[in-house]
Amino acid sequence: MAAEPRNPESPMSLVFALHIPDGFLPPAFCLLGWLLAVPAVLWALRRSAASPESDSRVPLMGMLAAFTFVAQSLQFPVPGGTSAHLQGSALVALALGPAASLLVLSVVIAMQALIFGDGGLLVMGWNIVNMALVGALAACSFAWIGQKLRLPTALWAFVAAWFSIELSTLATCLELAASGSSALKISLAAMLPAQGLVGLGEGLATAAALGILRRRRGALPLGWREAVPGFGVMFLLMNLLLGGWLRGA
Amino acid sequence: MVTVEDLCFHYGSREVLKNVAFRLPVGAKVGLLGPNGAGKSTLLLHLNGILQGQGKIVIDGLTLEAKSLPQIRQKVGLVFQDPDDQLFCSSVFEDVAYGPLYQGLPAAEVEERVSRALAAVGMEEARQRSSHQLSGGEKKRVALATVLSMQPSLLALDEPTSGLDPRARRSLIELLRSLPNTMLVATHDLALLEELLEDALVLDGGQLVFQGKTADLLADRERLERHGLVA
Amino acid sequence: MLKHSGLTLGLSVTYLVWLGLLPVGDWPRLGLFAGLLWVVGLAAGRSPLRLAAKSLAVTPFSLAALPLVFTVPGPAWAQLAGHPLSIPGSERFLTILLRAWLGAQAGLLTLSLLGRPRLLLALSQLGLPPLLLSIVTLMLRYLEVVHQELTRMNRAREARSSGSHRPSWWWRAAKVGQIAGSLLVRSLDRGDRVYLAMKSRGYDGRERRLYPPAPPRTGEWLAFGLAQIGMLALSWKW
Repeated sequence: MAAEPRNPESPMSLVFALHIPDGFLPPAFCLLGWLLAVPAVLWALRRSAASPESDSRVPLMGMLAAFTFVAQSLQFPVPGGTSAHLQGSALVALALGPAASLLVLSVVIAMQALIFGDGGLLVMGWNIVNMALVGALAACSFAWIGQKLRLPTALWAFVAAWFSIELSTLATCLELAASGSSALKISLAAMLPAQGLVGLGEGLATAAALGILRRRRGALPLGWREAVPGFGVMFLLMNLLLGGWLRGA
Repeated sequence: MVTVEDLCFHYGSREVLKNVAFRLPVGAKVGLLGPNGAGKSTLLLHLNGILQGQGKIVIDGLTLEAKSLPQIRQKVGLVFQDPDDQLFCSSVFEDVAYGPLYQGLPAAEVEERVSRALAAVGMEEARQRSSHQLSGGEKKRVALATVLSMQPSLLALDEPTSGLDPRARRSLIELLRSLPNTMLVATHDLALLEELLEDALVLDGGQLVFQGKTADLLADRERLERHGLVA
Repeated sequence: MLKHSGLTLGLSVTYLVWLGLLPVGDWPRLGLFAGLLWVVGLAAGRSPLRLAAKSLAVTPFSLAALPLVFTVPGPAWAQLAGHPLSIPGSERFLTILLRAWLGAQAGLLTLSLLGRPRLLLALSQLGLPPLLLSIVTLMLRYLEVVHQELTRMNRAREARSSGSHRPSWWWRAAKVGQIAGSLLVRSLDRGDRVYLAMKSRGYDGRERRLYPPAPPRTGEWLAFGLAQIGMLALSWKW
């Protein structure tokens, strides 16, 4: 079977989309995405089952899966003229914690790909990694820092959401570079600033939403156990970024 | 056959139920009234052990305690106010089968119970439909079927007629009238009370302030006003 | 034909995988795969025309790939506002578009053949962990309910809005956040109530099924295997 043409090109196409469609990453590389996503989901399943109130979480997770679907239809304007849809990874992560939100977001990504064709099927592994793994876990880590430093909720929620978007984008760029689909520096230059603007809106929306959540139901207390996976993921991303940059990829 | 003695429940520092005690004879249809916040829903949630306060609750000779919870939950069929909260499976059949399934009954028995419960509420033809395709009145009937399939001794209903148009309300009242189960119905609907429920309990501020015949309660205008049952 | 729900879904998924593995610009093979799908659809009593028409709704998502037409280097076949449209780029974009369109048709066909309850059965037969199956079931069940809540909230907001527009992006973003936050709280509250309803009917944390999922018969496995060989043959570079 022929491989995809390995033409380095500008990933302008992905600038505003976090759901990668099929055809951007070569099939063999997509397999690697699955090899990361499936163990992550299995880990989340075990963590969820082990938690003390695991029974009561099931209907919450199902309901928030429906919520995420619906919430992602909400749009806000992005400075610069376009508008973006609410991504929601950070919000769901801050409402449910890392393991539960990973499961919820994976289900949503799968349903969106299967029912709406939003996001490819082969590349779903990577979409899960970018949005559910990187996006959600990183948000929890930043929230933990914010809570530890006793910063105002709105502030750390904003930061968590902004980083959630930027780090997901970074992961996408690294994937494009590693698979040979695009040069790292080009994709970073194209995507990070644009998603950074989107992240401002997402950050504000998340901060506002979390404020309401906190007032009506109380915030989710995050311990270091919820923060560690995110730090691990970010550490890995930074290493890959550094490696890729130094190699002039 | 339902005995509640000295039931007390705190939520944080607030005393939500204070020394509530009453008795429901077999087959009785009893109304539970009171202003909002009086503790009606809280009381209902105690009857099947979802909330646990101090005091003693005995259903059909079985005392409510940690180890009798599964049997108690089978004996007390709680019908919630919003049927969408109660119909959480992908089809009507699955929702009505849920209770018997979790009782551990064999498949053939579960099927039998589902058929009987759906027949009792007149919704047999909705068997394979999804809950979201049903109208409000139909959802309430199916929600009732989901607990009837467990063959409970006591039916505890929270505002069954709320949100229903007159026709749906009428048919629900007829349906409830046709059921032989003992019933405790929390409601604001005085007309429902008068038509269907011979006895009444009035809860106000967490305390039982009236226990007796509906006719007596409805005749006592001053009492009705005092407890916010009429404007 | 294939009765087993799990295998039917598995067939659909493998079709999508084979489709995704087709090389860019391989129009004959794309045509064969389209033909395969439509023939299967006809055999199952579904109109390929309706499938094709309904699936056009997903094509806008592929527009994310449109810039490829400009950015992939190669000989140009046309110009648009001074920018050359490259042949490889256009081929790439068109392939992505066609794949997405065919994929949506396959998905729609599967959904129409199985229906929602059997789709969930299929997922459990394919080995989806029970917890995930419950999440999927609840999500599908409450999707419209949550959507209606959002519609109601938006209508209430519009009725209350004074009409003075502050279109600044940060204000709009904050407003979206408020809507999302209220919807989130309501969803969580409902999740709590659903849990109470589940517990009241005996839920003990274990996911139970009424009938154990039946494994496929040998004949069905054979049909599945043949289908895989067939799709491999269609994809192979002879």
